[in-house]
Amino acid sequence: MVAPEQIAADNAAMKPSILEIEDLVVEFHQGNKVVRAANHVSLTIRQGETVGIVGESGSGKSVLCRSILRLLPSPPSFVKSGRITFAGRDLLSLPETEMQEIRGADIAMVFQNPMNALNPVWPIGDQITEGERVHRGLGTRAARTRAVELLKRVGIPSPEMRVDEYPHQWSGGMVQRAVIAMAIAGGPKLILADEPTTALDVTIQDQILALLMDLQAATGTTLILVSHDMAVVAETCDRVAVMYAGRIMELAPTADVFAHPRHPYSLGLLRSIPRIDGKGQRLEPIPGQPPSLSELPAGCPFMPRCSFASPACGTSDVPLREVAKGHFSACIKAEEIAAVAL
Amino acid sequence: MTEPLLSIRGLRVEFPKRRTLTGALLGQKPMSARAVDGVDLDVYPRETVGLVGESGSGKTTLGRAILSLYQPSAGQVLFKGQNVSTGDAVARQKLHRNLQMVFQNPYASLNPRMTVAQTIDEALRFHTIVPAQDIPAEIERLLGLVGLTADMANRYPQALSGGQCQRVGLARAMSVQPSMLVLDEAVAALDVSIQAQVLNLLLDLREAFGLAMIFIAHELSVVRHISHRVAVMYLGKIVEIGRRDDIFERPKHPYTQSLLAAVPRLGTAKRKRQAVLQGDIPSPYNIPTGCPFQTRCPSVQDICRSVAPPSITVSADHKADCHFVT
Repeated sequence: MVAPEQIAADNAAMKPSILEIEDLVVEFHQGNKVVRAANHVSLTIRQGETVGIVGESGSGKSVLCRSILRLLPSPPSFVKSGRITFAGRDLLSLPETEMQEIRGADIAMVFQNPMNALNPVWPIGDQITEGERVHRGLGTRAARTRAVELLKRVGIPSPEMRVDEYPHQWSGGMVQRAVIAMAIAGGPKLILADEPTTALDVTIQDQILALLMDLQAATGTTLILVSHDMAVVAETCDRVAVMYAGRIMELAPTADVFAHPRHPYSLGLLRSIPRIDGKGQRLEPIPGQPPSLSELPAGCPFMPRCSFASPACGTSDVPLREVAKGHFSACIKAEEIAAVAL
Repeated sequence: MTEPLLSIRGLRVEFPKRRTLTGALLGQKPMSARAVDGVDLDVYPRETVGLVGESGSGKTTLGRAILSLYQPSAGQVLFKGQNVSTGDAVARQKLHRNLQMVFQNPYASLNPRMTVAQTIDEALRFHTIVPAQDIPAEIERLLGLVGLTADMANRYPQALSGGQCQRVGLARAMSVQPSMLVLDEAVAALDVSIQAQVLNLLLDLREAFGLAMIFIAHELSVVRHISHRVAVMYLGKIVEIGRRDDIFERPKHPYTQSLLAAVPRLGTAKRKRQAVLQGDIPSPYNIPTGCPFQTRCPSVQDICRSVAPPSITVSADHKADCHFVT
């Protein structure tokens, strides 16, 4: 008997891909230092799925998201190699005018700090429909109706009274709803949500995640959710990519990663999180600190902190490889890690 | 029963809002935000009390009022029987030696123009903890205590990582040999692998020096990990308090129940979400009469809108402010 989750996963695997990132390398040049923020990242996202990207600060999660939309200023950032293909189009070689059409319409982004994502001196309703007024020639009156409709869709109470208000008059959770309204206005095929609930209280986070999942179920949009919170990803995503020092260390269906991690870094992360249902057992932190991205060690970047490391880890790059069906790990000892109890 | 180390009685902290000129001419009453609204709390020696709640619940204000960084508008905070906001300078200086605070933002809480050694040196000198010639050795000992190497002493905060800064903040707090620490979101800004290191360090220090702690945090799993007792705050009031396992496993107040239900859990698979609580926490300028939680409570009744709920004793250490606690 095949488990229903397995059938669902197989069905998802049949879906065509919507976004393909191949061997992406992004560097920042600071004086004579070169910071490599994304290091040979490859990731394929299928239509309609929710993929979580987790990792600590500096692991390259946000850089990856921003590279997709080409939001990183160059200089100081440079795409050294790689391709990003969205619905058959090579995003990295598109002219800026065509890229502008894609931003907002086909790919939308929800940022971490909602208060910074909106202009403080401009009514919320106007900001939400700016894209449609500029790109689709929506008139002022129609835009207002549309703004009310969008605000209603994201659960703002009495939107017709609040559409003309300014961001400072709203709470953080409400402003994040407005930012989401702005993101869905163009009917995007892909939404990039970069830490959308990090600045919010847990009860408001709960509301925003419920909203994102509802919208996704209703429209079939693909969602990439960047988060440092493993539990948020566990509850919302189909697959998860664990990033460290600009690399994807592990990529697998969410439940697999959290139940049977096959990379020592994922294992270390899971062991260092206090559990809400735990009894206060002593945590096992990962020793040391992440490496500087301008002085990456040779071979596996996690090697200096890894308790499984052997000399072979430091000799050459450790590529991501499939170690079980649909489960990828960038560790030469992935099979050994899989046998370790969490 | 031992005497409490810290005893808070009927504490109220208000922040008055200036009236506008038009407001004054129209005869509006001056408004004030009641950030802490009648809090009673005892903390015993060697005990860690977790303080949780959403932003705007008053947990940070309460923490700061304990250190007399804010003046209460009513009530009092007694530390070892002495009122923290009255008394002469000498007495208060002595009191502050015993009661130290660790702040949320590790960079902002250190002076960027002082090296690690200077930061700790200042506290040691001010409170004359050790003779002047012993200060360098004492700084080295303190750095070792928080897991930093002696060569960090001459670095400036900008050359340290967030986790290292937080360790320096801890070394500074520990330098005056306090009996109690107030930690305001002390690990919130840290990545999980570093957060685990600092949490373990806090547990070691607590054990080694018999510290009492007030641990303020919004992250419930961290609070559960470190606390002996937990107080849940909402709109300036402690709405439920009890031993850790009572609060996390047998919560009685609907707010605590909703808060816990909203926390994402690692063990669960992807699920359809239904938000537990609708809306936001009300403004502290306009606290509803009756139960403060009435506007969001899933089981609100008529009585909640008019009568403030009594504090119901569930068990010896477990109290909840709700009309319908059984």
